[in-house]
Amino acid sequence: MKKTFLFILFLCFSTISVLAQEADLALKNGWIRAVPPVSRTSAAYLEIHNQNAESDRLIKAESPLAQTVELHNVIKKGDMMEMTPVDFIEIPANGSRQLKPGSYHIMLIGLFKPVKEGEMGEVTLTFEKSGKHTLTLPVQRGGMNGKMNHGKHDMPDMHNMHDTHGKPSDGKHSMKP
Amino acid sequence: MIKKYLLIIGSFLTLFVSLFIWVAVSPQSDPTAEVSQVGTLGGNFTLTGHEGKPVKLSDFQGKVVLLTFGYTYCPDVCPVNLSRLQQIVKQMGTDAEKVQVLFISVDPARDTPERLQEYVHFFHENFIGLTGTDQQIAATAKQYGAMYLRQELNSAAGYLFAHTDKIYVVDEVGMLRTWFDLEEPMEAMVEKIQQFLQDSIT
Repeated sequence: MKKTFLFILFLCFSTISVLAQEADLALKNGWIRAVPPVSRTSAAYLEIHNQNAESDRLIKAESPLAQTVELHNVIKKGDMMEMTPVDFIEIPANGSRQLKPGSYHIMLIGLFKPVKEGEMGEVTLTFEKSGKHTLTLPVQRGGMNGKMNHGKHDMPDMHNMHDTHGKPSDGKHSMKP
Repeated sequence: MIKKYLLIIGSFLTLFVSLFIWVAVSPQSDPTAEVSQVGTLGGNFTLTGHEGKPVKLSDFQGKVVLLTFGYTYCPDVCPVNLSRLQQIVKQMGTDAEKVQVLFISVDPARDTPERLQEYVHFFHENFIGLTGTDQQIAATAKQYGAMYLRQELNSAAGYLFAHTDKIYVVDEVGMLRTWFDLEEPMEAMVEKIQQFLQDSIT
């Protein structure tokens, strides 16, 4: 009996410690759109999960792939899809934000060379509170989710995406007073 | 005498009202619903193909034509739609040759035929890019109820277009049958196109 109690107690603590470690942003299922060679613009998409009790904001994106990187949103106005640059993308507390086609996304403008399927591309995101995160994302073709073989049960594909944490202090510098 | 006239007018009114109610509440079968959705939209047009030659919608009689409006500088919505069209064609299997995709540029100033060709061929070698004069494109868009609006943005991307994201589905005799929104599931689109192909056989 005592053993069981201790075991449950251990489980509780280990869960808490795991949560504490992950009490940050989780960046998942990112990809960059493969575009025709004539196209000099592309877009990057990903899911941003915020396990913090406070909301955060994606305020900047950079990439060695393109001259300029901007945060954009697509809004459906009547029958038209309208794209506009935004200053930041809010990630709600204990919530998530999907950067996806036809919605919020990262615009890569003035590509230095065409981004081809199968290549990897680096994107660095700066969050107001969580600082800088550099991601290496796969370049993929495809429609809404960057996958060509549209099975009904698309499993999240994480194996070829790496999140290398920048120094936390980097992020602090870009925080607004 | 007046009573008689009133009676006649009254019965006509009753007839009219009941007819109206009958039309309004009578259940509509699926094909009728589709006809009312597309209304009087659609029709033939002539534009310039990506090889620089005139292309008419009627050139593709006998095929189901999937029509979409966009531009090659389009960073998000157009690649999504063209990728979806590529997947549709792939999933059509042996019927793929009975389907023709047309991509109409709303940005003729920047989209030369050569540029269009390279752009659409990236998605599929059989896709055809169309351009024309501003007036021709405006007229075609109006025929299909598509809209586009040039936007000068504070963006390094230069000017962009807000535009309709629909995929218009034209049957084998050139009639607009339905359209797909960006959210339309792949299975539903393929199923509908196959249905239109079967309709024309029977």
